Amino acid sequence: MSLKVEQLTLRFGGLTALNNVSLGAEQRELVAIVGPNGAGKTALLNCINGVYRPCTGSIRLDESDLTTIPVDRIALAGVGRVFQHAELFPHMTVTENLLVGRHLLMHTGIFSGALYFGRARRDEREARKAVERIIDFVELYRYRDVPAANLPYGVQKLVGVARALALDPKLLLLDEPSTGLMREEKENFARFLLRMRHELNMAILWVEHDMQMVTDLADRIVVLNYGEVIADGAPEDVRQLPKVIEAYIGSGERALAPAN
Amino acid sequence: MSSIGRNLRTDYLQANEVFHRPYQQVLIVFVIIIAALIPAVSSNFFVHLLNLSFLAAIGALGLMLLTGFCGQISLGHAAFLAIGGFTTVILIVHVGAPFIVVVPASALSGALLGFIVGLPSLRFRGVYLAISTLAMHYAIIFLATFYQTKFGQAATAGIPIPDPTIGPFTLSGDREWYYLLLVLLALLTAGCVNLVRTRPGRAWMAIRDRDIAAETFGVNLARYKLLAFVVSSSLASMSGSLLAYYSNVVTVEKYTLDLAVIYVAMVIVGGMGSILGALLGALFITLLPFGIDALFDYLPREWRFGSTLFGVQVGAVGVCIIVFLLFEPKGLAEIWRRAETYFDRWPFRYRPLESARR
Repeated sequence: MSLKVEQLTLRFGGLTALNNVSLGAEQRELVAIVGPNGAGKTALLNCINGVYRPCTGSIRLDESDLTTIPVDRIALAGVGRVFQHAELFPHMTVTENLLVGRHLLMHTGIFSGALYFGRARRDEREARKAVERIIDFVELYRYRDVPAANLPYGVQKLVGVARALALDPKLLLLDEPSTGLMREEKENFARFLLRMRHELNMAILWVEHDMQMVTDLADRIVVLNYGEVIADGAPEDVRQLPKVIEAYIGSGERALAPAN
Repeated sequence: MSSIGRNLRTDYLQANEVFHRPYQQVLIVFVIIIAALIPAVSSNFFVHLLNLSFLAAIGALGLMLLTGFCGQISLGHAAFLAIGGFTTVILIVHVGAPFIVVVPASALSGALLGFIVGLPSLRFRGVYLAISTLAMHYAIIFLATFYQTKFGQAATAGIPIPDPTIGPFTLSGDREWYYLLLVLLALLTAGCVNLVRTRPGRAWMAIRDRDIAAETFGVNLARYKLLAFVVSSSLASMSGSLLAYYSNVVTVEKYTLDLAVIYVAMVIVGGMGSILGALLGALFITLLPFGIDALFDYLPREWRFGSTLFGVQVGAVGVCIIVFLLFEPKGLAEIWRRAETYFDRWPFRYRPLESARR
């Protein structure tokens, strides 16, 4: 299992959101993507996810080229997505949300579903078993039958992660999963993240703003700025790079110079 | 088994049971027994009213799946009923097909048309989709009018349909119809309940709630939206076909835009996103005009004008929609649900502190 993004360019009219971006992720690797606002982090995830189609470049997950697969088949290739604002299905319960995450691994069609017999029952039973394992993994038992809209924000974000785990992904795309969480929730999330990396055999692309958390947990950090990769390497090395510090904090001269 | 043991789940499927509260299982048996006994004790007219509401309920189930679960607004439901009615006429007049063939064939033609009417839903949402289904409504009604003026005996009288026969039996009385419709409605309701608690229903709800997120989890939007239209319109068509047989006549004047709005009212009053809501809404909205009619009898003689009655009956549906949207947006089904949760906790009811009440 490996993800290879090569020379990806994405333009919206005259705006270049991603410029010649190349990066990779291996199995059991936690790759953090950091960068200031508007650097193209979410755009990159959207490209891998098929929501945006890049202008040039390739995205390979094992043998399949994700740029040519229809959006609703990309999950089948093994890509799970966690959205920045959870984007749960508000009127469905937590269990139902997770079962939708498992949609592609199920087979019940319109007729067998209406009859609810034989294969449909088996299908449903297996899916619920798998979903219960995930509920167990992220410790959401209390919220099993609660409609997603009624959950506190921190729990919603966790359900978002659980829903992506439900499709047994090979590659997990996390978009700022810890933003807006309380201290305790963040620590809990860090624990789940490490468990996912060590126990679930997936590659994880993790967009994050909390530099402390990133340097503590990530195997590798990729820094984006204005749509370009300006650094890629081990956390302790990347953090020292002048380019990265400049992108994040700005240099004295530039901060005082008139705009453009 | 001990009383505690019964409440423990030992199978994952138990989480997906429809009647998971013990008293619900008792209640449904009671409902079935009462429903079976009603024709024996009530008047012909009341049985007739129930037949009409069962027919409406079949159509309302279809609209509930489409609007309440898949979130696609449709004003074309009257047109689907018309397709059912006119397929029935065509098959009887030109082919001489029997009842057993005509009803499924009507459902099938409805499904085909639902596919076509559903195509705009791949591009439009909300009000724009409603307008496109409205356009389809008028197109279909135009075709039906064309057929009726060409083949009907008189342009206004409609086309008569004989009582259906199944083998040696002829369905003519309200009571025979009652049992047929009751069994059919029960089967279709069970089918719909099963649909919404398995994969296709969850895909519909996901599209209703957040279509882009649904798509990234592999729900094929086009496929499931069209499926919703197909299932919905085939149920409506089946209802239209049965109604044609039941009322022994098909005439295009019945399938007005008002009728489509009345079906939307059933879904709203019943409660969006609830199969029970579709049944309750159909019952409520079908009986409402007759209830108003009965109330009019209590009015003083000089207030009772035949012409005002019709206006009040139509207006009441509109008032119901507004009242429910304002005060009970989740409809009759939500009232039922609240009653159930009340009895779940009974007698340990939550009561605010006296000092906190203001």
